[in-house]
Amino acid sequence: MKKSDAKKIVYPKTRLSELLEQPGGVDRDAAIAEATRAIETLREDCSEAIGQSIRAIEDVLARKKQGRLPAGATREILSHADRIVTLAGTYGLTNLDAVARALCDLIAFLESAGLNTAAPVAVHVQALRLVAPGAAPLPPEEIGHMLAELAKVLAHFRATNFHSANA
Amino acid sequence: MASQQANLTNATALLVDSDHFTRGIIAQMLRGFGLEAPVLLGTGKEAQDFLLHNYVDICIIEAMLPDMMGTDLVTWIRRREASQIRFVPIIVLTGYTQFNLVSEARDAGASLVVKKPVSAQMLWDRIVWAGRSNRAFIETADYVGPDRRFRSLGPPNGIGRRETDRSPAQPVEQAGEDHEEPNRKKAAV
Repeated sequence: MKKSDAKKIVYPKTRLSELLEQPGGVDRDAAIAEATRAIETLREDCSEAIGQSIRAIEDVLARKKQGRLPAGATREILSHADRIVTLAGTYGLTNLDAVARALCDLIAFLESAGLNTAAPVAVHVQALRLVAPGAAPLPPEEIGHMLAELAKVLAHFRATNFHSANA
Repeated sequence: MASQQANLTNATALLVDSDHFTRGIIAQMLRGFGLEAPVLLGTGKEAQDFLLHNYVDICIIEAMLPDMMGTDLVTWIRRREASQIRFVPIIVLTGYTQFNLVSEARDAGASLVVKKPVSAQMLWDRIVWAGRSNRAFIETADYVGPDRRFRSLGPPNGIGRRETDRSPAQPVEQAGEDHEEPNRKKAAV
């Protein structure tokens, strides 16, 4: 056997495994209820953070030149959009979550295709505004229509840039 | 069936995530589970400095840290031969679009990979599972970490034997897949 093929298998006992079985533990449902209550205390701060992230994306968009995003902009937008997905998902903001995911999918595609077109991003950011915390509630059919239109934007870019994304 | 009760009161956790709000949310969940004071850090370097002198019972690490990949931090922990910390359960958190990092995290030695957003149910179940599962720990030149094939599927049931799955006389499109035992298709990731 070569030295590089050497394999060692151990079954380590971790401290966590011992602590978990100590007396005085809590029931799963009770622990989850308590954790859910604890994160509710951050809802307001996180709503503000969502607003900050949308503003940050708008700031990036404002730096566009001739309809093109500046270098590195997609990375920056993606990190803010990813944060919105996390916060919206945590607090059950389903419409915001859906729009933010659509934006993430779009940015991921633009990156893979080497594109930096600002217009489709701007449309998604306008949609984020419409479903952000504090915005006037939209009727469900309006939301459905908006999400369908956003999906069409991505589908259009995928169809017209198929080869560059797969190059 | 495993007990629904667990005691995390005396457990310690390290959470490394660059996003202040993600850190806050997960820390609140951990406190809700009974962990008194999870250690919250924002960079891989801070985490390395902390772990040089401290032990924790669970590590939760973002896949893409500002100063290094989360997977590099996982590898660093797993290769600390003189320290018990290398056996610590590690949960790696990936973002919505970072699905390409899942296999990277697994190959770095992560115990589990979880996609954000993380719910309280998901986090509790993963922590308890990581603590209670008796996974083998593998050390080779290329990989140090928990066994990546950790589900016990039992012996094959005789259907779809390897010898006859794709014999030369049998056309490929008729062989194999449909005869395979369903649960064996779900081999561990």
